[in-house]
Amino acid sequence: MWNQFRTDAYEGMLAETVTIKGYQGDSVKAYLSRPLGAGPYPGIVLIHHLPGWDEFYRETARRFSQHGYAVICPNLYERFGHGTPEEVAARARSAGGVPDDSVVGDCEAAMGHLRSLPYSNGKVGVIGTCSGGRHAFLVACRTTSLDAAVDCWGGRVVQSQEELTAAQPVAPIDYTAELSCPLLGLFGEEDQSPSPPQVDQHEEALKRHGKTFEFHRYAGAGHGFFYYDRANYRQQQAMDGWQKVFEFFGRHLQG
Amino acid sequence: MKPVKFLVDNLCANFTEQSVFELVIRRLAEGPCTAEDIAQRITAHDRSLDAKSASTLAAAAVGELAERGDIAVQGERLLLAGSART
Repeated sequence: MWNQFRTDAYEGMLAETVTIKGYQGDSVKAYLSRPLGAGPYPGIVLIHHLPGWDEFYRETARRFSQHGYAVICPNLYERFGHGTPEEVAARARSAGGVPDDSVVGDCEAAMGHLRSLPYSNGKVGVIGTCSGGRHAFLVACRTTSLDAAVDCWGGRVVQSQEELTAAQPVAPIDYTAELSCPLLGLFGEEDQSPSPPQVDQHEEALKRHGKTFEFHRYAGAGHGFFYYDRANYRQQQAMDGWQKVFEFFGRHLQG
Repeated sequence: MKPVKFLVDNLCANFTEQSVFELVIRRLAEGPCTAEDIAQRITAHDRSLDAKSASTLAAAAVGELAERGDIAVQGERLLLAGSART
């Protein structure tokens, strides 16, 4: 994955903010990134984390495009107004978070947008980290047209009755029977959300329902180990995790 | 009360468990304060946290540090254990 390009090969990309019609027809901004050229390219819906639609996600979108993917990252916090990513995230948290129905609706719209593009190969995957990992699994269960899903340390896939809210009325694990595509899960063994027992519970549900999945647990890593802007970044585990993500998407989205 | 480690991960807060404790100790090294003061320092460090999340994290950190004996709690007043008045 890393450093596999040839130094005499042309490479270019276009990355910009666009507007799509999301849940309930609302206008939602999204960051769209794609390789230049006619393609066709596989697509990825990139779901941002709790701290917001932020710089990490713009860089991550471009990273995927550098490797041949058309990527769309919708602003799931669009309805909480605008400001810096952190200001908006604080507002979203204060309001009780973004409703699951809104997330699913916006991601479905993003999937449709990718497939409508003239350079799409028709295949779309989804990936998210943190709350985005939870959302990736949720979207993969509540929609039927995804070709692959990646859940990076999604907390609250397993939720107790007391943790359910109006915005999150159903624990995603309860949708496992409806998972509609292969799933890759990456988790740090030192993470407490999800905790190792919760990851085990998630894995058990997937096995029970005969789903196609692979889970990888990383020793010496906790929550957010891909985040190179945070103290929890773990270089070896992150590089290995990225390799697994690219291999997984390559298998299910290319060709 | 939920442990600090759980809250940091659950909130995806831009802290480690250790850095939350260090924030509290650093603040108290400046003089006694309240949990609300701690919460404000938390949101100053991670502006993606709302007031309620910061307060919850502050309360958890204060609770764990008090349990360890690193800080003293006198009503709403927090102070470093060595500086607690009898």
